[in-house]
Amino acid sequence: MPSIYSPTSASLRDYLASHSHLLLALDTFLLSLRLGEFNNPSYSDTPSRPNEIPGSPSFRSTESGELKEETKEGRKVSRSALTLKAMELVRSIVGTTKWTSSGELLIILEALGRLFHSSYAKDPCLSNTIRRLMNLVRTVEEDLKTPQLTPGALSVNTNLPLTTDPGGVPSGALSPPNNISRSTSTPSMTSALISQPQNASTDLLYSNLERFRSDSMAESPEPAGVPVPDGPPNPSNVEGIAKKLPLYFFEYKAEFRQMVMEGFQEVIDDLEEGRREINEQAGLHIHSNEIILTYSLSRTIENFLLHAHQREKRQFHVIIAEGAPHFGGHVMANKLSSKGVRVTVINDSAITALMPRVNLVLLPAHAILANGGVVAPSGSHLCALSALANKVPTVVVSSLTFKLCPMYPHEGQDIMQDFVSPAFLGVGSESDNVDLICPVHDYIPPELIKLFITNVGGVLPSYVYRLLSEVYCVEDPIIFK
Amino acid sequence: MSTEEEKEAEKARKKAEKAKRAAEFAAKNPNGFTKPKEKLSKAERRAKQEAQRAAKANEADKSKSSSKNPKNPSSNVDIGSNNDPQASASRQVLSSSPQTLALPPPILNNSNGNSNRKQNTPPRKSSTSSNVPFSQPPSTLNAQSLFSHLSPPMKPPLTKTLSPPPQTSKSIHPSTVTLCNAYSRFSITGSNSRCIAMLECFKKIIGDYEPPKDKVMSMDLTRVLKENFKVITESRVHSISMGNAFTFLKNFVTKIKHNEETSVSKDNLLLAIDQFIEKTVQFASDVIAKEGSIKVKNGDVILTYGCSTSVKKLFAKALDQGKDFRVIVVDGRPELEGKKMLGYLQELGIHVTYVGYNSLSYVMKEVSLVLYGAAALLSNGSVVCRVGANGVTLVAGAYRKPVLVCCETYKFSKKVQIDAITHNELTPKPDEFKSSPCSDWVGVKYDVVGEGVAGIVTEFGIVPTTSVAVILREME
Repeated sequence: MPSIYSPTSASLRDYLASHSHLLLALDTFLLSLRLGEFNNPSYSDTPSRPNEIPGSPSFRSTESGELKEETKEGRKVSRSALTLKAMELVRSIVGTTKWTSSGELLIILEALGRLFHSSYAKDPCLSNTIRRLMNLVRTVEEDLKTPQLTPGALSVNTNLPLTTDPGGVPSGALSPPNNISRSTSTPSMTSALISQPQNASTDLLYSNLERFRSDSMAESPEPAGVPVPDGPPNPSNVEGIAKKLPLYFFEYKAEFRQMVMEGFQEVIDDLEEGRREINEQAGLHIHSNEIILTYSLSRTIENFLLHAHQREKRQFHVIIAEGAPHFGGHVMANKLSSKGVRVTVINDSAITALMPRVNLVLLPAHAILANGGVVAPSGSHLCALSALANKVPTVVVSSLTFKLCPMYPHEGQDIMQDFVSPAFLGVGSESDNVDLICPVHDYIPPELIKLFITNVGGVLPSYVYRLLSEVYCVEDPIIFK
Repeated sequence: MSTEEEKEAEKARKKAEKAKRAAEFAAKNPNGFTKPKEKLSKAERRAKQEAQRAAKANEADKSKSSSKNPKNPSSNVDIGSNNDPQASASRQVLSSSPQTLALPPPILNNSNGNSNRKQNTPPRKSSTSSNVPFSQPPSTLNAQSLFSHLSPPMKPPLTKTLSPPPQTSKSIHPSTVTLCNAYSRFSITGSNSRCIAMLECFKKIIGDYEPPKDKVMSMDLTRVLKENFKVITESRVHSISMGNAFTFLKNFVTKIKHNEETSVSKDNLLLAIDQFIEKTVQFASDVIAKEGSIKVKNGDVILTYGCSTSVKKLFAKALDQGKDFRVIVVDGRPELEGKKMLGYLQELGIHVTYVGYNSLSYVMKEVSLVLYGAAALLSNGSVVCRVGANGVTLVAGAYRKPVLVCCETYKFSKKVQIDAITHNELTPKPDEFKSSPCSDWVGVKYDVVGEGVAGIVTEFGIVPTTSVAVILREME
């Protein structure tokens, strides 16, 4: 049986050659990614006509006045929908193919990660999901391996739970703090804190780990008499991440497959459940007669506010900044006011003028970075600064499932940046002396953020790095190249 | 003896009465003194409370409605009339739709900077949120109530010309009417331009003015000017620059000697106005340009917000001095005044980057100096400028960039203001959003920058914001 040795696109395709339907699904998905069919129009696409502002008479809208952002030719294009679709694809690939060991599975996942990255690099949600699955695989493997470390040996994997439970499936989902795995090994903790420039190679880090690994793993006992199906990858031939894996990753374990599939299912459930858990916290943070300021369009915040309005019956008033360049604020205002929430729309420039009157600022997140900073719609940095100047708490409402990134913002405002046309300004110039710029994202440093409201509860920005080690493994690549 | 007997009789009588009362009581209440209370559930208790409250409110309503009803129109009923939020709540629920209700007073009074979360919470009545919601006053926050202390936004329609009030029609000059139209259509914007336009209009008025035989010229002319100014203000609220210029004009007019010839007085007056325009407005901005251009170095990247005459002159001056710099123009919607600055800089041939307001944080890292113009400078050191400039200052502060504001001294004012809400000019909803279902919109014209400004460039040099009061005093 052929097995996969290296996480390149070619070898993955060879591996899937016998499963043509999988290959077809994968290629279709990658093609849609490249064609931009999954681009979220609320922040990534340029409005197709200049000065196309939602709510204006020239704007194409449905009868209810809503922007057709939920469906694009019948397909849901929200990021969670995209992530779910990717997860389903991965699950079908992993479920159908006949891999035999966790090492092989990790190679498959890494290959998928590279493919996703090459097709759709600007959104980190796919890479984050792959990383989560890889960590899940590693955790399951570590659980199954009977821990017979020699005294003094160092554990490389930071996610070794303090109490090993071979029968149970470790949840790949982000779980509440009582499941924090405490690592007893100093090098792993240090390596979790080492900030890595995203574009530099991570070989330096791995070489450090390899040094420790070679000390500890040499003595790991080979389980005797385990039947090995033919065709496992010879550990000495593998490439990529798998090169650094200890040898027991390439052994066959009977219950591994089922545990991994259960773990995948848990991750999928987590994706679907995340919003509900956020909504349930709405009553804790919104009090009555509050004036809440929010910026542009966010489905998470919209559901959060609607939950507070409809279920918790809180009376409050929302001020929405229209949020150039996509003017998602108008869409959000229409949606909220149609459900009875009191809404006022303002220009972005009026945010600082009205801030003394505001009680709470709610901001959405495009991505949450390892230092607790947030990549948010452009203009929200100003919002957060103004809130700080007026002592108004800034709260970021976002689920952590696919937005948590293990990156640090070395590029400052350029992290995950994208640009669209500034056509809404109504200025055109053929002169060389004039530049027109319109960035889509802003980076908000963690000092400006008071709290994250996430699906694991309320989280301080300074705690985010700790959550990283629960979901991701430090040996997995930060960028799949 | 008789008194003793009487006392005895009294005692006996009282005892009998007491026994009789006790027997009556025992007959009524077989269980003794404590009457068992009917056990009501929480919802029933609440309903009972509501009913009692409503009954009380109805009584209060009846007593007050007879005196208050003729005065009050439908909305804004309850700001002054009734201080009891509960009574006003029940009344409002019955009478008007939620969207037009006004806030009960305690919350309105907090419109000044001090609002924090505690002040906006009404007292809690019951604990859980899953039961019947508590009867707090229905929160009626909307744009009207947030800014009900300001005059409503001026709509710039005026397809027909402004009709002057009848009794003073002869003192309203046609050029005033033209000016009012220009203001209300926002075709003249910017504090310098508006001030100069107003003074030109007054020059025409003075030129055409003939004092009546029996009146003192200074007083009559003052009256005429005041009436015209009032009409101008009704079309669009006057800026502080206009106010200061008008004060100067009034002062000059009152000093006219009454035995002087009319033509001489008028000539003096016109000359004074010309000198004001030349010196305190135009020459001042030239001096500002010179002072400020010293701060521009080679290789600078200067960020400016909106369009200001002094800043334009500054750029021209710096270019004349042969400096090599480029400009980033940040523009705020919906006025988009930066386009004028963009056009001007393109003519000068300076390299411009034109960005929208959302890109501020992105472009700020490469900026070396932030410059913008002010509409006014207040005594407490606050800078009144176009809405959005406060944000520019904040972001510049976050990136540690110096901020300079260009302002002529005639715009200094004795007023004080700490935030942009207490006094401002509301703007109407832009036309492109008229069809949007969500109808509530708030727009303001001015922003107040309290801190973060490194210096003000005036014709006296670059001064800190705290010296405004000192300069005002010196100017007197």
